[in-house]
Amino acid sequence: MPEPYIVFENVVVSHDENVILGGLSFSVDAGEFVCILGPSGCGKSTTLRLMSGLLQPQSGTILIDGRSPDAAYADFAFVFQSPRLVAWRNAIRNVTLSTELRNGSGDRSMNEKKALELLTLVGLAQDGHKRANELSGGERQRVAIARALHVNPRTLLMDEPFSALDVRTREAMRREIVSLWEQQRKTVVFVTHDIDEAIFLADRIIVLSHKPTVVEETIRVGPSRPRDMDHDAEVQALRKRLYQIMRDDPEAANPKANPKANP
Amino acid sequence: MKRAVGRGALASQLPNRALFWQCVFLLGFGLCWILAAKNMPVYIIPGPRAVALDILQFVTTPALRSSALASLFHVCIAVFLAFVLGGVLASIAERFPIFRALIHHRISPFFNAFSGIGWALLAVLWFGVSQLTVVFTVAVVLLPFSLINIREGLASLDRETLEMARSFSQRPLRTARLVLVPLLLPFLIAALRISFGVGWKVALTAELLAGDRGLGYVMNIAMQEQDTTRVIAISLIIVVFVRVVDKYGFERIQRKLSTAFRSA
Repeated sequence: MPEPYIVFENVVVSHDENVILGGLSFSVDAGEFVCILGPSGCGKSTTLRLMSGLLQPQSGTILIDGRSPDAAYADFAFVFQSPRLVAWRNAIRNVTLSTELRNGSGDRSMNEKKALELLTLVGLAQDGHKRANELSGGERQRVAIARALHVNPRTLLMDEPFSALDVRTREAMRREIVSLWEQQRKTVVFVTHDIDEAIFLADRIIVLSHKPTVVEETIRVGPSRPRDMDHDAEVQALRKRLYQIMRDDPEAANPKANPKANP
Repeated sequence: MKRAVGRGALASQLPNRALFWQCVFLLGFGLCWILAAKNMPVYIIPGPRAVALDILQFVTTPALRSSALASLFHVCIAVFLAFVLGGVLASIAERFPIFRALIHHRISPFFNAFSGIGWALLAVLWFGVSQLTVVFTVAVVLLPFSLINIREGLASLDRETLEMARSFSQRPLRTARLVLVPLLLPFLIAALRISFGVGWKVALTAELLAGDRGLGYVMNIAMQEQDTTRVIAISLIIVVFVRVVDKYGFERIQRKLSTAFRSA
């Protein structure tokens, strides 16, 4: 049996007196699509930052393919909650920015050609020359995904990337990310507090507790893709179970924010 | 609908009306100047024609032209030095919190409050009458302008964009070149703009007190010879030069940057 690709062992993070992660342990296999689900403020984003070396733990071990996160940082590309595009570049140049930052300027025309291919992949073939402020929220997030893919990472770290989008765009983006994952089979660690989003996307869901955070439960998502969120009995059972685990989280229980979360 | 059209028409007329009143003001000012010059001795108020001819001499006479260029050189070097030093101090304060209070609560207020003439006199005592004295005086007076503007820029940097850059790169210089400096550009240009305007005022005083060349030095000689025409000519040259550089240089760059840096 192969070794897990990402390993967290008893990881503790605290800020002043406030313990955020209280001994977090889990693992992710290569090529797996894992969703980290948990209540707001439980340290989901902190977990992603630890993986990519943007943050250091107080104690515990984090290994990425047997290396420290600092040594393995080039394995990762981040997609944040907000797109974080730079306003002085157009969409193509925003996509190439990740490679310029990681590997230097290199061959500009090659970089731009690859950027255009990725923009086509995320449905923005015609918008490469638009500036960031000429794109809609959903389009900007697509550019951010293309930017992450441009460095050809082994793993995509996605920190609630669709939470700021409207419902229709969010659903379209979910379908797109699953399609991208099916094409490229990269490891994806996706943070969300939306139960339906986790069920729709993940191979496996890691549910985190309230602070000080530990893994509450790990659930393998059975139904094959594309998942029928309205009629599949297994999906509905899973939704009910997740809702029961997260019953203390007002956002997961809020029927307006997440209409299917409350069975 | 009619009201909207009326307002639109009024709005389109406003620039023309503003221009009209500007012309009226300038014409009135010119007339007052001519009348005053006619009724006063030339060493008190020279006429516009005499001043205009004197301004022309700064183009045609090599010695005067080199004085103007010397002042420009003093200002440019001093602005550059103040900019670099201000940037270094602001960066140290940002990078090492232990120095923050020292730089922002001690050094910056000290330089901000210290008199420019005081610096000029001290510089004469330290370096004698020389170009170094002038450049030092101007640079040291401009230092807080650069320091404060760059500090504000660093304080208001978009941390999320910087974190995005750090997530892709472990090389600080590359991150600075591709993301940090472009984010700071509006503040850097603002620092240069204000320094350039103030720099000319300080340079004249410094050259007058401690210079061996430059427009301030020429002004000093003119004052000793009661040549009011030259004093006014030099003042007008600086007003026009600073305004032109500001309007067609810095203002345009800032306008372009504010368009390019609209939030994304």
